[in-house]
Amino acid sequence: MLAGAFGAVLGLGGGVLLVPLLTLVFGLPINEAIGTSLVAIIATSTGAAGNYLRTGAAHLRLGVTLVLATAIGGACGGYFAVYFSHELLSFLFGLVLLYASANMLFRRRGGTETSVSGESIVPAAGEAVSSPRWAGAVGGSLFAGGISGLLGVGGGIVQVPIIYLILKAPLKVATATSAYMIGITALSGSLFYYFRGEVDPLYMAPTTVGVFLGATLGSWSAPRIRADLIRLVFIAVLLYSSLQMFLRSLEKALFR
Amino acid sequence: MSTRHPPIERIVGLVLQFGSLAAVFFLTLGFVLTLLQAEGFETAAGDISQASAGSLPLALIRLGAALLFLTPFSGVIVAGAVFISRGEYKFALLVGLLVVILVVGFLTAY
Repeated sequence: MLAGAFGAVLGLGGGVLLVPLLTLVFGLPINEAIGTSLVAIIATSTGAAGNYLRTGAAHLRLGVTLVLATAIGGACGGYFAVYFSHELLSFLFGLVLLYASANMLFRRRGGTETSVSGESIVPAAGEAVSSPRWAGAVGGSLFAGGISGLLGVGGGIVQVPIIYLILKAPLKVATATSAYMIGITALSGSLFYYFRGEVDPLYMAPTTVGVFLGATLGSWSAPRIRADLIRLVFIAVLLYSSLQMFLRSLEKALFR
Repeated sequence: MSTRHPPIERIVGLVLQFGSLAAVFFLTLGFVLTLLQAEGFETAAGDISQASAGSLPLALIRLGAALLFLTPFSGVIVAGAVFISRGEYKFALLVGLLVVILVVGFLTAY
């Protein structure tokens, strides 16, 4: 439940907490933890995104524009994950979390408005996608999707900074729109794990239900939380998770 | 934004919420029956574990998972349909491409 609530507030899928939890506490092999996390992340996203869309916090057109790239990346990540060793997956997971936390901590802030006005951050008809900001956003979204499919996170740890810092959207719009995109991204990657038999139903069901309940509570409380607090909590969680996964990959390497 | 029609966001939001609720319901039901089956729970009316015997709990969990997969996909379909009805063909095209990607991904995974 905590993973779900946290994910909903920060526009993450909760995978940054779920994967370490399933591997470190419950002892699941990391590939099964990733698959289970991705399925549960769909619940997080739909639980929160439905509410964000209805209240106008999420920018649907922006989400639809970027989610093409994340869906392709997610499918590729899920497909090729089988070729990565568990130690490498743990190490990569730690690297991504460390990078995301540093990125949020040291970059200057993006937009300050609390709402998106019209189509101001979506390309006008005929505007070339090759403009630097949009190229960066699409490329980053592709990478976010790949990370999602490969490591079992929702992609929000990359996607939120993209929308917030590159596209200069308000942080709350970034987190809400990311929450919508995460479900589709996780779907594209989770299909490969599910049909490979790497999702245990007896772990998936309670994890998903708990995450969903937490996400519902989180999306209700998100408008009542300050953006600065969201950012600081986001950074703290990333750093903690990164350290845990580094230790995990080193432990396997040292005691082989 | 038209004042005659509900916003696209609200329609898609309702689809996502309804689908996710249905999925979670079946996942919860399936897992609860799994626990009951494991415990051999009995009631005055009879052995309830008989009702949860065999593959029923697992089937319910798989049904919940299937609904969970279908929910964001359905949201995409609905968004596309509404974009078309509103004449927003650029976004409808993006949604169409997304549907193709998801279908190809499913066929590749399966």
